[in-house]
Amino acid sequence: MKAIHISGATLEYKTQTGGIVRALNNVSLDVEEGEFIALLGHNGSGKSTLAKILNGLLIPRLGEIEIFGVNTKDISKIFEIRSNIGMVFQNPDNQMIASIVEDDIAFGPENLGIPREEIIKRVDWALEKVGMSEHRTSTPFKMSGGQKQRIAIAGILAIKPRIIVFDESTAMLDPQGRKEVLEVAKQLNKEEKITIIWITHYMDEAVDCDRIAIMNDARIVAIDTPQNIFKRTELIESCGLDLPLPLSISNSLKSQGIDLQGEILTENALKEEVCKILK
Amino acid sequence: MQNIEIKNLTHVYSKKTPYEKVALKDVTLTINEGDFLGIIGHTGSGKSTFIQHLNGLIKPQQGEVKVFDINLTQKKPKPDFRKLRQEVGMVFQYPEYQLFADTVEKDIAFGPKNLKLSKEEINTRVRHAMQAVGLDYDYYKDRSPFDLSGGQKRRVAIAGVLAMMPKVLILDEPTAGLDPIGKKQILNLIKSLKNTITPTIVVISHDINEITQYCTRLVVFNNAKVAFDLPVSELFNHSEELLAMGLDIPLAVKVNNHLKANGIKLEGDIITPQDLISAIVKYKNNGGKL
Repeated sequence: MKAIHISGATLEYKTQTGGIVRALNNVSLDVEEGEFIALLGHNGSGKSTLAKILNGLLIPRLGEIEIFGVNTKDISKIFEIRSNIGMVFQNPDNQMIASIVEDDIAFGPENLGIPREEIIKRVDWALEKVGMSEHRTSTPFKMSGGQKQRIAIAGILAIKPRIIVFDESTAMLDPQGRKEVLEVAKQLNKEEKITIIWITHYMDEAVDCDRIAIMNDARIVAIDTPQNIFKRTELIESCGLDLPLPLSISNSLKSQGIDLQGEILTENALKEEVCKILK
Repeated sequence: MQNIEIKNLTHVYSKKTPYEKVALKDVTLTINEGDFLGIIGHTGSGKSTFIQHLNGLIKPQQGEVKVFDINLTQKKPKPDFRKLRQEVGMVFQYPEYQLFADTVEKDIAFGPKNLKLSKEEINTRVRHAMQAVGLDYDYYKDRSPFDLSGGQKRRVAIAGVLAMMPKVLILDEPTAGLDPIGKKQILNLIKSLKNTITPTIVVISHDINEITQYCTRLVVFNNAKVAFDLPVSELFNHSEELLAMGLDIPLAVKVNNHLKANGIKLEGDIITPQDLISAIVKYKNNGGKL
C-alpha cells in the first residue's frame, strides 16, 4: 500500500515585500509503506514545505496529497491523517511541553482520548523503543540534545503513527546525538515498519536509506537509490549539495589512477577498498 | 604574544542546589596572538561556559582570567567590560537569530553606533565589515536581513561583530544548521578573516572533519576539564582516548589507522582528506615502498 501519494503539488508563499515565491512546483512523489526516504536539497529548495503538506499543515494550491489513501483536503479526516503521520523538528526544546518525561510522552495519546491503561502501555513501549526507559521520571530540560530528541520521538511514537517525518532533526546535535537519533529512526523503520522521511543537510546520513529524493528550486529533480544518486556528481553539485566524504575521497583517488572498485559511500567501504588496493 | 590567559578557572552552575553542576574544573589555558584554535568536546563538556568567560558574560568564580591587559578577576576598580567586549568579538550559535534591524546596514551599524563613533567612521566600518564577509555594500545595505538566505543572514550577523573591530574573534558552531553551500561559504570566510582581519580566531565545532581543515591547535574539553591541548598534527595520536570520550576523529585518520592495523604505513601526518589522498597516491606510485 502506498503510504504517501503526491501528484502535481504546487504551492506559493507571499513574501513580506509583496512578492510571490513558488515553494513547490508540480511535485509528485509516491512512497511505499515501510520505505526510508532521504530528502536532500539546499536551503529554500522546498523540503520543509513538502514536509508540511504531508499532514495538512499546508494545503497546496494545486495537486493532491493522499496519506494511506486519505486526501489531506478532506478536513473531516485531518485528525486521522495527523495521527498517522508524526513530525520531529530541528529543535527538540520546541517540542517539549511537560517537565517530566512520561507526562510529555503521554500528552499526544491523552489528547486522542485513549484510556489510561493503554496510555501507560504506550509510554512504556515508546520509551523502550528510543532507549530512554530509565529516564521515565526525569526532567527533559537537563538532558543532552540527543536524549531530548529521542524523548521527542517517543512522544510521536505514542500516537502510533505509520509515517514519521524528520525535518533536520539532527542539525542541532553533536556527533554522538546525531548517531543516536539516526539509529532510532532506522530501528523504527526496520522493526515497526514505520515509513520514514528523513530531511537532512548531512550527506552521510543518507547513504544507506532506500531512496534519496533531491529537491531543487521547488521541484523534485531526482529520486533513486543512494548508489545511483551519488553517481551523478554534476547533478549533486548543481543542486548545491555535496558528495559524502568517503565518496569524494574515493573519486579523487580514482581520478589519480588508484583503481578502487564500486561506489564507495561509507567509511567502512573506503577503509576496505583502500586496504585491498594497497596490499 | 599572549592575548588571553586563563589560570585554574573553575565554574559551578546552580551552586548549593540539587542541580549543582561543575561546568569547568581547574582549567588553565593560554591563547596567543595568531592562534587558530579549535575547541572540541561533546555537549555539556564545558566549551560554551569557557568561551563565555572570555568576554565577561560569565564572571570568574574561582581562578584567573586575563584578556589583553584587562584582569577579569579584579573587583576594584571594576574591569572595563566595554573595552573587553570590543576587543573580543563573539559570534554565538545561530547568530542570525540576533538580527533585528529592518536593513542590513542598520543592523551592522548598531554596535559601532553604541560606541558613539562619528557617522563617517560608522559608515567606513560597515563597508569594511560587509566587504570582509563578501556582501556587496550597495546591493545589500538597504535590504531586509530577514529576506536573505540562511548563509547570508549569518554573514550579516558576523559582519555586525566585525564592525566592532575585535582583536580576537570567537565563533561558536559557526556552520551549524547551514546547507553544504552555506557551510563552504562560512568556512572560506573564516579562513580569509584569519589572514586579513583578526589575527586570532577561536572556533568551537562538532564537525571534526571541518575544524581540522583550518585550525592549527585543538583543545579538547571533557568532563569540565581540558583533556588535550595539542597541535592538530599530534592530537590524533590519541585517537583511542578521543573515541572513548565519545568524540569523532577525522575520516582520514580513521582510514589511516585501519591501514596501519593492516601493516600499511603511509608517509607524513594524515589529518585531512587531501593528506590521505596524496599519501595513498604516493604509496601506490612507489610500489608500496617508502
